[in-house]
Amino acid sequence: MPTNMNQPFESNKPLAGGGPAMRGVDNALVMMVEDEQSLIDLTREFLAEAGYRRFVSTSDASDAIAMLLRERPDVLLLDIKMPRVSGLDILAAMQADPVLKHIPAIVLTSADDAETKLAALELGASDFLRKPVDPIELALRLRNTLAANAHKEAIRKAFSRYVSPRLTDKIIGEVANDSAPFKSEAERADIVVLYADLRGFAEIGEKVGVQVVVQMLNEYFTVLTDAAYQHDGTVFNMAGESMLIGFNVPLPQPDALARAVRTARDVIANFAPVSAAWRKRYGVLTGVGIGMSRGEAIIGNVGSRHFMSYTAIGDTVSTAARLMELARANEVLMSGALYEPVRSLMPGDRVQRAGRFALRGTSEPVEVYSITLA
Amino acid sequence: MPGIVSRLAGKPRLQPILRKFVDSLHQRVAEMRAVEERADYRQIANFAHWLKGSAGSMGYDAFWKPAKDLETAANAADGVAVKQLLDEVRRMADAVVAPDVQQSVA
Repeated sequence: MPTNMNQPFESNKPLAGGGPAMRGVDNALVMMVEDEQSLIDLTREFLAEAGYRRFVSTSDASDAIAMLLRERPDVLLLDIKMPRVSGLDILAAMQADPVLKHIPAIVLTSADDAETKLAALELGASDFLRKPVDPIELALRLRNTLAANAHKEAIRKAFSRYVSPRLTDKIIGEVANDSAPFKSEAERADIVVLYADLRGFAEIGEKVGVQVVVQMLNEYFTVLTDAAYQHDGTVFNMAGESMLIGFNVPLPQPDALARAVRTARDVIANFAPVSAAWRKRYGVLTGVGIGMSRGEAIIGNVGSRHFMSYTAIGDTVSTAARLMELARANEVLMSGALYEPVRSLMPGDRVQRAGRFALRGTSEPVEVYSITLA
Repeated sequence: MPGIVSRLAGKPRLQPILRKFVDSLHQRVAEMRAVEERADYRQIANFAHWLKGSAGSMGYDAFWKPAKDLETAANAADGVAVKQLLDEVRRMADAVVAPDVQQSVA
C-alpha cells in the first residue's frame, strides 16, 4: 500500500499553504513523495524527533497530486527520480494548479547535476537538498521554509481583502522584486473607476428581517466582488449598498478600461438572476446602477492610526460617484471623455448620449453617455 | 573487509528501518548479477542512483563514493569500470552489519 497516513487529520482543512500562519509551524502537516519506503520511514522518524508529528506520505508518485489536493499539506518533501511520474512532473502540475502552487516544495534528491537542480527551482521548488540528507539540516530548512511561507501567506491574506487572488500573486511577485505596490506613501495615478450601487433596495429593508437583508446584501456584493476579481479590479470601498472598484491600480493594466467595461457587463448580467429571484420572493424591482470615469486620483492608505483604508480619492472618484447616483437600474453612465475609447470596445449603437449633467470639478454641465450592455 | 555499521545503528527507533534497508540492499545487489550479464547499464545506473541516496541516508556512508562512481560508469557504458565497481559494492554489501536490537540495548 503506497499511501501512508500516520496521523488523523482535521476535516476542516485550512487553505493551502496557509496552515502555518494559522496553527503554528510546529503543528505543520508535512507530506513526502518518495519511491523508497525506507527513506519515508526514516524521514518520518527524523521529523518526529524535531517535533513534526503530522506526516503523510506516498511511495507512488502517480498518487501525489490527488494526495496533495486531498491533504493540502503545509510543505512537500519531494524526490525527483521516481518511476512513471518524476518529481519535476509533480512540480509542473503543482505550478499549474491555483491551490497547489502555494504549497512550498523542498526537493530531496540523489541527483547531483546542476540541470536537475535548476529545473526544480525553475518549476517553483522552494529549496533543494542532496541525499544523503542531514536530518538536522532538513529540520532547519523545513522550519525556515514554513516560516517564510507563513509570512507570505499573511501578506496574501492581507492583500486578498482588496484584490483578486491572481493579482495578489502578481503583487507578491512584485514585492519580491522590490517594486512594491501598496506603498506606504500616497501617490497620484491614472485610474479607471467603477462605482456601483443597488437600486430599489430601500423598499426591501422595510419588508424583511435583518438577517434576510444581510443575506441579500451578501448575494449582491458577491456578484460585484466576483466580477471585480474576475477582471483583476481592486475593491477600494464597500459601504451601504455601493462598491468602489479601481483598475490600473496598484499595478499597471494597459487594458484597464476594457477590464472595467467587462466588469460592468458581468455585474449587470450576473445580478439579473439574483434580481429576478428577489422579485419573485419579495415583489421588488432591483438593479445595479453603475458610474464609470477615468483620470488622475490619489491612491494610498488614508485614515488614522486606529483605522486605515487603501483607497482612491479625487475628482475622478467623485465623478464616478455622481454618475452612479444618476444611473438607473442596469444602466452604466460615463463621462464624455470615455466616449471614444469605450465606443472602440463595442458597437457604436450601444454607447448613446444620455444628456448634459453638472459634475464636480467642471464649471459647465458635461456630456454623459450611457452604455447598453447586451 | 571489516564490518560496515550504520552510524544510526544506536537508535532503537531506527533499527527496524535499517534492517528493512539492509534486506532491500541484499536483494537489489543479488538482482544486479543478471542485470550485469545482459549489460543493462540503465538499470545499473538506476541501482547506483538509489544506493547513492539511500545508503548514505541510512548511515552507511561508505557506499556513497563507489555508488556515485558506479552511476557515472554505467551512464558512460564503461563495462570495465562497471564490473570493478559492482564487485566492490558486492563486497561492501556482504560486510554490512544489520543493527541488532539486543546489541544496542546491551
